[in-house]
Amino acid sequence: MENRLKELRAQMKLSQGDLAEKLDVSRQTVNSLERGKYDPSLPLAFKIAKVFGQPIESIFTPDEREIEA
Amino acid sequence: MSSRINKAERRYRFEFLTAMTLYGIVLFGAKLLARDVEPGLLLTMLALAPQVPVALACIAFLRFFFAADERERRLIADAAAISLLVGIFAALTLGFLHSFGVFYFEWDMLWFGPFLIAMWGATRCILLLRG
Repeated sequence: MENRLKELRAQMKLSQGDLAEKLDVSRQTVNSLERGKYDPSLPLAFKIAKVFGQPIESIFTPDEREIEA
Repeated sequence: MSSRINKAERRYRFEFLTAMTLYGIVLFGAKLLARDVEPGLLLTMLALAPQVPVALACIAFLRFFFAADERERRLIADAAAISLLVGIFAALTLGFLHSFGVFYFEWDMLWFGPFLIAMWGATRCILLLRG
């Protein structure tokens, strides 16, 4: 899954540590999320959306393979 | 890092190290005291005494596990599942070798816990390195 986390974090001038604090996760988790190595749970995705004030679907884009039936 | 998770990690390190130090002391003391004790309730208590600090270490780990974030918990759980399968495979391999009379592994089961922990630790490191 692709995401705009790094871009949105940069817009808000937040460090990975700052974002980790807001999301109550480790900095490594923020790093994994940004690199697309880890897909967040739905509650964490909602938390991310709330921090950036944007809907989930504008932050995360699933790979075509992931949404094929 | 979230300050809550940071605090949980520090607490886990402290509690786990304390438990392991206690384990060394209790194991040494119990072995020493058990030398001249006849089989019975006292010897049973001495034999099981090292399990108390082991239980403390388990509690420390569980507290850390439930305080960790979802990605860390996922890593721990994935590593535990893989370690369990390797452990089952190792136990069955030794069991079959024994039952077919090829080889008898004469150690007691004390090796199995540390083996699983070492497997779990190594697997967790590999999963961490993968991202």
